[in-house]
Amino acid sequence: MRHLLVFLLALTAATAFAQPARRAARRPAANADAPAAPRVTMADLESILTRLRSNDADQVREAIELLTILDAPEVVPPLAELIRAGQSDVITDRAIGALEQVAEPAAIEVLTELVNHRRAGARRRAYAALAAIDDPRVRPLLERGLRDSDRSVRGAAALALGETGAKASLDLLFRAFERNVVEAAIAIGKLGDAAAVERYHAFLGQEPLGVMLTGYDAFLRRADVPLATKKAIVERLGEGAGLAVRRFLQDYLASFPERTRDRGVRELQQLVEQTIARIPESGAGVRVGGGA
Amino acid sequence: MSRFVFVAALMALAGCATVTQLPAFSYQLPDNRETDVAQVMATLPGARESRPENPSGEPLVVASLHEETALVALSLDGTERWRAEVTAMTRPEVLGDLVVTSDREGLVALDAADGRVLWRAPIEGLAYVGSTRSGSTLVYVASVGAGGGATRVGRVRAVDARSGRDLWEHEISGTLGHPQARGSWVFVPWDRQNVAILELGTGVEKARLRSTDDIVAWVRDLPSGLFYGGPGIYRFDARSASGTKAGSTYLPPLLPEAPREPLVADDGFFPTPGTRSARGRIRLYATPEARGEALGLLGDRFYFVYYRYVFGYDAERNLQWARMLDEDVIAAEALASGLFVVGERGGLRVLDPATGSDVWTGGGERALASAGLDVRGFAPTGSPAPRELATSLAEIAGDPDNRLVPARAFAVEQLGRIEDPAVSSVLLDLYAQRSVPSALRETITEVLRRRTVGTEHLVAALQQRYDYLDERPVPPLELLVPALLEQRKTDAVAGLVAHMLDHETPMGVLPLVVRAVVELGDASVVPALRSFLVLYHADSTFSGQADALAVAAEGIYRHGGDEGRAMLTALAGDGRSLEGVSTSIRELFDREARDAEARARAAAEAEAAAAEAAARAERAGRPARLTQAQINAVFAERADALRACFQQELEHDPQFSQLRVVFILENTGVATDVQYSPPSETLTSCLRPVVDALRFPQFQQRRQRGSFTVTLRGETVATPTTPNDRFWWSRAERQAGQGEIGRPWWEVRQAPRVAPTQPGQPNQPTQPNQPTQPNQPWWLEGGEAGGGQAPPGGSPTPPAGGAPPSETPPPSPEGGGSPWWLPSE
Repeated sequence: MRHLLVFLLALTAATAFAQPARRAARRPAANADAPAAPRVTMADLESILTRLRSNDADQVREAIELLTILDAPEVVPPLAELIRAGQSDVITDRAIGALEQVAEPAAIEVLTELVNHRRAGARRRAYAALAAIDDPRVRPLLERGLRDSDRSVRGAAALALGETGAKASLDLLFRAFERNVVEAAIAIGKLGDAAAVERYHAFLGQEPLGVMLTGYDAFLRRADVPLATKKAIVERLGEGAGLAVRRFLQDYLASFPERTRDRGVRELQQLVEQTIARIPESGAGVRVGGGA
Repeated sequence: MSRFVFVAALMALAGCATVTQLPAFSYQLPDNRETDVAQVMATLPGARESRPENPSGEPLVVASLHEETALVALSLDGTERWRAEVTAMTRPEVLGDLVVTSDREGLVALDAADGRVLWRAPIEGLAYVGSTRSGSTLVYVASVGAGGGATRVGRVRAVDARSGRDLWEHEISGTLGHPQARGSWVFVPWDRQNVAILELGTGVEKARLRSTDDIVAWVRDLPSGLFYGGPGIYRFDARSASGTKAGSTYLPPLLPEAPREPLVADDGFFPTPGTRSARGRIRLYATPEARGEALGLLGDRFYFVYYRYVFGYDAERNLQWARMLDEDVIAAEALASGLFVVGERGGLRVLDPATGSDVWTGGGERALASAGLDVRGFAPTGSPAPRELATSLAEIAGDPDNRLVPARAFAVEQLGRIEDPAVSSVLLDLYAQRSVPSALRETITEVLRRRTVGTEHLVAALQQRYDYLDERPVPPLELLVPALLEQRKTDAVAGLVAHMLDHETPMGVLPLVVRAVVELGDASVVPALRSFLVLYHADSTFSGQADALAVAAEGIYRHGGDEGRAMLTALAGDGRSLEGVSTSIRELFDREARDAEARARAAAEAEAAAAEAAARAERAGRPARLTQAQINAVFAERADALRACFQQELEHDPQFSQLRVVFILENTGVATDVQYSPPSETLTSCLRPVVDALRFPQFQQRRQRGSFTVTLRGETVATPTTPNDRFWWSRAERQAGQGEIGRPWWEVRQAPRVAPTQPGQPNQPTQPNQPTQPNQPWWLEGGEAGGGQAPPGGSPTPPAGGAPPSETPPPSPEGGGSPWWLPSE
């Protein structure tokens, strides 16, 4: 039960910190039902900046929103200036959020400063904002987040590495996982190859099952992971598992298309079904890996 | 016959005095008597050879076993010579051919040759303290009350050594310590202040030492002599009768800074445990040695033992080596060849006095509880390897045994005294160990703060950064920063700034780090301080704990110049700033204002004080009182105004011939109570503003009488300065010389002025060169003596402002002519 709870928490965290890998994919599509955003153009920039420099917190908040709507490289310097001038937590966090929305490489400098901010919330947001920027300088910065003393920051950095597809950081993510950065499991699942799956298996029994399942889930839902590797995962989970694994596999089974011509997929589906059938519907079942 | 009887009676009384012996330990017995001490010294044996005293003549260790009820006599190779089933409660003592210990029943004496029990003696409710032996007599002491409590009883008993037969005994209401016998004397310490010297054969106390400025905790009979003491060491000799440290042959405490204040001998008032006990594990080991009239230490060495740590010192108290043994020391003895050590696991060894390395090892695996030694003279030879003192001390300091923290801290202290820069690095590494207890950390912090060498290691340590993955902690900033501040390491500023800006720096130490940046930095740190302060001035992280920001503000205030101050002013006025930040900035400016005010006040006070001093000096330089010449000079400055008044008065009173002004002159230079003569209203009203406006030189006397006289007909304005007639006769003599003596009083005294003029006839002013008639009234002569009177026959002086005195007034065309003081045409 505890493992399940950890699993759910980790999934929630993964959802919360999940960032699109690329800026274009991240931007939400226009929603016809949503209230129309105010029409703002670059011509309004000066007036927005005036409001940004206001002592009225509401005016500043609105200005930040408008800059976010502007979504241009020109909004980065005033936002950076605003942050560096020292703001209340709310304004600082909003400004970092705006930088995340803008996702401009020009923001890397100020975000690099902010990953040293004494408030963990600000650091966490800074890592999230960095993850949104498509720039080679970002990965080392995100890796630095894995070394942070704050658990939530480490988790955010790990998730960000997974989201940004930082395959080069896989070794470091495994080290982080060894050091109980549970979010690294998801990142490993998103980045790892067949060899990484084998390496990941070694943690079964050492790490909580709920945490391990988050990584397996990431592996199984990836299209680029070979079916053989996925089968190996299912078989490994089926070696001895309990209710949590059963539920996990049931959820996974639900993700399969109803009909597919892909023989390999069908075989995998059958394997999952067989594995589920082997696991008793109630009771503790057998532990996977003997630990946890 | 009667004389013979008287002498006999006196002799009898004297005889009684010598025959009547006060009991031993009596408080009536005199102490510190030179004759008594000399009597003992006369028969005290000299030095003897240093060698084992048991019958075999070989070194012998008699030990009680741990977890076994037995005593064993061990050869140095570890073989048992004999074993006796005795539950030893006290440490066995080897006394010649006897081994003495105590069990629950009382004293047990065994044959040193085979361990056979020779005799037993009950102790009867007391605690066995120790024995001594000389010849065939054994003396032992049992006592209670040394540790406090209502009952204080001490018993010293002499018995035949081989049979246990009683010889004599004393029991007192006090505490007795371990006795020592030498020759025909027994030395018994008692009540921690005295040493009673008893005759071995009779038990009669023949002399007594009493320390008047120290305690006596032990007495030791050693081959070279007899010694006693407490923290320090006294040699028993003729000087002992002084009863003082200064008057005795005395060696001060060897290592007063050692933890637990160890003595150089076992405390003789307490039993030495025969079972394993912490007592006795912390000791100084030294063998006092008589050197001519002086006192030294055998081999010029002494040793500090703290369980299994051993520190070796030379005679100058310099630490030479340190050693961590693999077992606790239960007994040791300082020999000429080194320190003979018995370990609790049965190991025997001799530590080299110069290096602390093993010169010899022996013994075997045997769990020992306590041991008595008879190893004097044992001198093995070996070639010990030298040991690095710093390494040994670091080994002790880093020993994880937290029972021994005081000694580990002692080792850290000793380590800190070594002038090797690398020691600082060693101490830092030690501090970083997680197992190090807080007490030791505090010692390391203090030692590093004091060290003036190796600070580069402190600066280098700042390079370390927190890393979760590498399990690297934040460097010990609470240790580093105070030391860097103490040593004013300005090259540490860059590292300190990095830690100031690093979020991993713990909040608790952050104010200290920022303080160090401010104190060690200069204007170059202002940008970093500004970034730090501005970024967080409204952040909740520092809400309620804005100390670090306040220090940063102070740094900008100190190093940032006008620009920095302007920034601080803006920050203080920023509504978003944390209350603590705004308050601290305002306090900076307020403090500056207060300081400036205080400085201005101090400057004003200094100025006032200087002015006051100058005024005092000026007052001291003033004349005691003004002379007539000085008064006249002041009037002379307003001669024109006076002249106008005279002219005006002459128009009203043509006979007006003389003006006399009398006044009180305040020392401030103001004239008061001014009287005018003649008291003409027109004249007075004219003169008053003139005279009131006069300002005379200031003088010291509070006030003086002053006068000014003008004789309008050419006589003088003022009386020249009167010679200083101190006495009336000198004045009379002077006046006699001037021909004034004999003048009637009415000619020299003041008299009512009566105008000598006839109505309608203008008064003719006296011609300046016209000699005064001898019978002419005084008031025509110009005034009273000392009040501005012109000297008779003297040169007339024109009114001030008029013609110079040397000038002769112009002759009047009408016989008398116009008044001399009128301005010439």
